[in-house]
Amino acid sequence: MLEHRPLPGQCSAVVIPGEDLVAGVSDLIAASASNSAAQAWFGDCELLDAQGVVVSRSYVPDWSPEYLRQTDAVNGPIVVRDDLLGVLDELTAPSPRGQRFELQLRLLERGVRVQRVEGVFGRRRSVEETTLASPELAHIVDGHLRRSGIDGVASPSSLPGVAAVRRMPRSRPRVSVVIPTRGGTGRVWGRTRTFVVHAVQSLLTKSTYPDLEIVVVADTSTPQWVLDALVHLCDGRIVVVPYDAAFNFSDKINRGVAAASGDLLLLLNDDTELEAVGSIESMVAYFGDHAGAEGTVGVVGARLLFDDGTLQHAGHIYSEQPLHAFRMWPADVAGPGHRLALARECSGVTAAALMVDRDTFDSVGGFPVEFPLDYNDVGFCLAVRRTGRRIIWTPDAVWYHFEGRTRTRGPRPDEWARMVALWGHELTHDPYHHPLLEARRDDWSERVGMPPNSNDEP
Amino acid sequence: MQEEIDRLRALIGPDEVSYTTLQADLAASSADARVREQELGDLRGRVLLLERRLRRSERRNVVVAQCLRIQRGVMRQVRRWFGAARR
Repeated sequence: MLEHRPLPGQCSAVVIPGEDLVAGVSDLIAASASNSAAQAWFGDCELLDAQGVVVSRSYVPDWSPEYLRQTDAVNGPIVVRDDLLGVLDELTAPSPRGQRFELQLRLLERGVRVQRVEGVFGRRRSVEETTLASPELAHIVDGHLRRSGIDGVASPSSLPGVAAVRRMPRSRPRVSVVIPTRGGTGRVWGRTRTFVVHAVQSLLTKSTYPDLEIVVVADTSTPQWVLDALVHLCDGRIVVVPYDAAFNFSDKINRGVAAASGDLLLLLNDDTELEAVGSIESMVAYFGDHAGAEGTVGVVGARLLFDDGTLQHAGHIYSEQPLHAFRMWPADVAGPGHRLALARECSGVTAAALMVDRDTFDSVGGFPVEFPLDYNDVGFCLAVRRTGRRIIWTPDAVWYHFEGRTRTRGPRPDEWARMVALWGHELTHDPYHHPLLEARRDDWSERVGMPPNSNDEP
Repeated sequence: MQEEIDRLRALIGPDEVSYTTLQADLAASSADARVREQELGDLRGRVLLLERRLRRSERRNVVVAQCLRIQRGVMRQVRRWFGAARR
């Protein structure tokens, strides 16, 4: 059974048998409670060998409801205010580990403010370490989805300690696909292609989504035959917006959105090709959920692959600079904490394939035109996060993105200086990364001298 | 008449069947290129993961070496201190 140990300040720590609570937890909580409205807290957990030496540590991200719906992301002691201990009586899971996972989901349902505290909360013996069984986990998540009114089903996954959650869109509103282009061509898989034509063709032939509107923002230098080909492909479902100003990606997006009629906007680069047929449905499914304390979803990003099948994009990390997480990793690897296989919150996603609802887009004033070339998606996502909305990356929406793997052009110094001036704090405090992971790296490597990541491969 | 058609066809090059065959060949070659590039990408990705493991192991070795150096230094001091105390 779960154990709860009283702590000073009308709080209790919820631990599983065999787990030790670290002595300084109360101080950590006291420091954290003084400047936040949190009602529950969690931190990292360390695994010890037989001699009591630390062999690994879980580098837990901030409270991530979407990630938590698929795996026990916290997996360590949770401290709750005593007035929340009644939740323990509602738990139905058979195992202590399952009960603590269910507790997290019940806190989520109640809109309890949960805060990550930087520090170690618990210690366990590594020889006793087990993973929560996927069937039990899926059963717990399924109950949570029903209680939360989320249209989706959870089933046991082939990955250990993971529930596969399949969300279903509540409705299928019109999705306007906004594609800025100048009709460029390039060689992909040994053949020359006109990118925008192939991007639109792949959408129209592969996607199963019923209501798509294509909005092409075309530079005036775009060859007429390309526009003719697009009109022919789309059979009337296309809006062409001529663009005659100097190149500004953000401005092109904003003009495209102004001409679009859909409630949901899919911003798409022209050098892409849809890979997974249900991609748009899987993105649409995140919109329109009951908000709760976790906040509504404002932006959903996709899994992007290079032409050689390696990962181009699995969400952004802001660690002194914006990075693409796990860039160039093999596509079939689940990654530390299964982050490449699970939908999760992240601080930002690339605008190469990004879905946003019109309300969110308007609330931040559209794409930041002060970033004509680089960082426009970073600035946009950070502005969306500031409104309290969440940003989700999903592995179920998949596109190829034919961007060069060896792109050497660096960012423009003036854009970087503007970025640091506007978002300097956010660029060094990514809640979905961890301060003790190595800065400026995209692969969840721990800092020198820190214990290995317990969620990583051995 | 047929002879004249054949003569003209020979003059203008491949016929419709050849064109279709060429298209099919091109599509097959492109699909093959895609498979080969992705095999290469997979290998590239595996190399990246191995490099990551190697790098982390090297860094842990550096930390262990530092700890051992500190331990040796402390032991030397302790021995020196005990030696002085005996004298």
